[in-house]
Amino acid sequence: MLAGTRGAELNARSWRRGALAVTGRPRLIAMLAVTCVPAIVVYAIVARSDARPLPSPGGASAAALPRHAQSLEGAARPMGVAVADDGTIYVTEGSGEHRIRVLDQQGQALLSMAAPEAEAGASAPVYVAISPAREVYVSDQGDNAIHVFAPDGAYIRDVAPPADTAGVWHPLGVGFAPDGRLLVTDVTPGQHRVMVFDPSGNFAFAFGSEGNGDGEFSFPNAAAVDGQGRIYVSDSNNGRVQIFDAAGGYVETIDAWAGGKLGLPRGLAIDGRDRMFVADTLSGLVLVYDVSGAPKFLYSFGGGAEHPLHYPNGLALDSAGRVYVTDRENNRVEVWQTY
Amino acid sequence: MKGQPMFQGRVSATLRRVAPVFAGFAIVVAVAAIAGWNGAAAAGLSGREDAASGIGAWHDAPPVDAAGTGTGSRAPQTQQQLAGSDPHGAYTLTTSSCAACHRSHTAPADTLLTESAREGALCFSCHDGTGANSNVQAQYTDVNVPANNAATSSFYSHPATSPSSHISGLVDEFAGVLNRHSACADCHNPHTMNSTLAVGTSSGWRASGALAGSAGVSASPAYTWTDPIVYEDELCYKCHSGYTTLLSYSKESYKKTDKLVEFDTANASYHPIEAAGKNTTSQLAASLAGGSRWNTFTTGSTVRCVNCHGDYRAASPAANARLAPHTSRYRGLLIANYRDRDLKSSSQAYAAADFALCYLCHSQAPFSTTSEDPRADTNFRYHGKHLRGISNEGGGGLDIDTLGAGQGNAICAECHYRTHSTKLAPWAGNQDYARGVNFAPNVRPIVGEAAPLWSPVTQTCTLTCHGEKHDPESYAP
Repeated sequence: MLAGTRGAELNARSWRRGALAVTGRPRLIAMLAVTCVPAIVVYAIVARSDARPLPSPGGASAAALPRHAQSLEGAARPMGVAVADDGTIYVTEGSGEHRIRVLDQQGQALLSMAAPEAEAGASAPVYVAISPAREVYVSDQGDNAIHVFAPDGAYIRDVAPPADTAGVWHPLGVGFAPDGRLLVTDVTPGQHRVMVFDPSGNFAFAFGSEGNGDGEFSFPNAAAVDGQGRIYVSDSNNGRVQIFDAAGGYVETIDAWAGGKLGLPRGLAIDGRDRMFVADTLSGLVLVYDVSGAPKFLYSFGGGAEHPLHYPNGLALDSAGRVYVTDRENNRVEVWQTY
Repeated sequence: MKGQPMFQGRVSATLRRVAPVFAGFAIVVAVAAIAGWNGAAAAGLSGREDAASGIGAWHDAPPVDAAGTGTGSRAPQTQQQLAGSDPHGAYTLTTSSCAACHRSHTAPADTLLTESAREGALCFSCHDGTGANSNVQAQYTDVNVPANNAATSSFYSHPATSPSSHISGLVDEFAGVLNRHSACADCHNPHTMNSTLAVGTSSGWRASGALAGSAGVSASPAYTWTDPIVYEDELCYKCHSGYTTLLSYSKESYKKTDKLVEFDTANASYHPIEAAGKNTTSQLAASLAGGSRWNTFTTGSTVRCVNCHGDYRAASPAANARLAPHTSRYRGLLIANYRDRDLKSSSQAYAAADFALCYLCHSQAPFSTTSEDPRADTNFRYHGKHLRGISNEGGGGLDIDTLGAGQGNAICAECHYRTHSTKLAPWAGNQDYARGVNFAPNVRPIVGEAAPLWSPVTQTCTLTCHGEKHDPESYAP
């Protein structure tokens, strides 16, 4: 504080001078109050704004972000991934030797599989799914078939296509419903649709056609079933996920997330907590929705600086809440732990 | 204080009082930011490690919709908003197809592309069979296709999956420089493609819809940047002519020749790319009628580059089919095998598979016999004799570029060395020859002559080949 004449002048001025004349502990308390209150107000306004995703209705733990767990190497241009209930991981290669790589939870290679007696260079496995009997179903677009392997890698048979295909089909996406039904997306030119096989492997019915209207598909890459029996189809080239009832009747469409429109949705899966995970290849993200009722976008992951996905394609969930995503151009499978 | 400037004193005093206020404010704001003020997810979470692993996306995201709900489900879209799942053209004003490949504000690559390394990775997201009927990615992972080897001038693919200096297919990156590369967009314009097929005309084949909107180099006027191309060959001339700098070799069979020079219709003999050929004999017509794959070409037809340099995988494609020259198991990106560098050893029998390329269009019949009788399907009655009936002739080696080489049955390339035309024949004296005749470096001139010689007028050859002197030899009936 200025003393003397100068100090007297200043002390005689506005109320602010008077306030600044306060010293000691009261002054400290006053200053803290003056600084904290506006900061808290600003924080409350901005940080609580709607420019954030809503918390999951399942509670704070359901909305907790996944944490990156590990990166698994060993597959060239990995396209599809599946995880058996014992944790064994199956990954299809989109280039190189075009084999199906089998890894354990530590990422160690156990064995690899290949299509039987395929003409060299023709086999091109794309997606993989594990049946309740632990058989490994692999769609192969070079052979235009679904090959079935035993867990030890031995080839068993091919899935017989429906009779109306006259033996020629183009199976792409494969997935098993909780009740053991097999879902197959077929991309025969002009006849894109979804086929359902009963748990015994017999063709049950098909639904959909090629196009961009409700119930129509353009290169559907994946199909999955939730706990309520509803069928989710990754209608990739139409940039959307379509939801159908158990009989294949159209229900609704998901075509956007908080960041805009879906780009190229590919692998998808639904966990036991009614959360749908879908890999968006062109956005480089995994998008997560709450599908317990009307679909609600929850959050995305995979676009950060530490483990950026470079054209994610296939996606799988295991029973321990881990998400497996084929990071195609990074030649890795990325694993996240969900909560 | 007394003696000090009044202003300085006031400023310092004020600062002493105000500084703690601002310092405190800054500390509180900093704490708030660290705790998640930057827009991270729901409160109460320790997902700091996740801030980098995906929440970064929020920084890239456009604002949420006007409702501000952040939900992912919307009312079913109208047909217009979903118009077309094909991102390659026919765009409406309300299309969202651009977002299939471009990001306006966050693009990591040139031309606003999502791809940050090789263009092909973006294209192959669909063109690997998972999003398009054409599985081009499979062609680039074909185990039967050898790697390109520039040292031996052996090329089996347009290297679309290799990193390059490519910026845009519509920018002239080739004029007068050595800048050989072929990203997808060097041949394909992804905005203007359509499904039309190539169409043959008397001036050459018009480009198919797969090449619509691409840039190239025209033959007329010659060496002129052309955007868009009209004729299919104009795309090829962009890189396979003297418009750009070609790789240079000293070995004759390695040389990459200027195709604009070779296909000039003023030349004496050429494969009919830009116009019908010069050989209008009935014998050639009969030969063309016997092609193994294409037998409807006539002496008045034009052909496509891709009829020879095309996709070998197609079983029985039509001549106007999509024969994209992406990769091949045959050197020279050929659609079928053609033996043109290695001579036959002394006892090696004739094999039709050596010349499968030629037989696609030309009848194999003249080569199926050693008879020397005149034929209706060839102008040279000794074709069969040379390919089948001269085993163990000559004591030379097996390299077609070595003078005097040859020890057994002949191969087509010994008399038809430069296949595109005769204009750039290695022997200067052969460069105006008709009927595709031009001799390989292994063929010896007769002493006193500057080159091995042929005369269609006298129907004689004057040369030494496989040790056999033709001084001259006549093939007249």
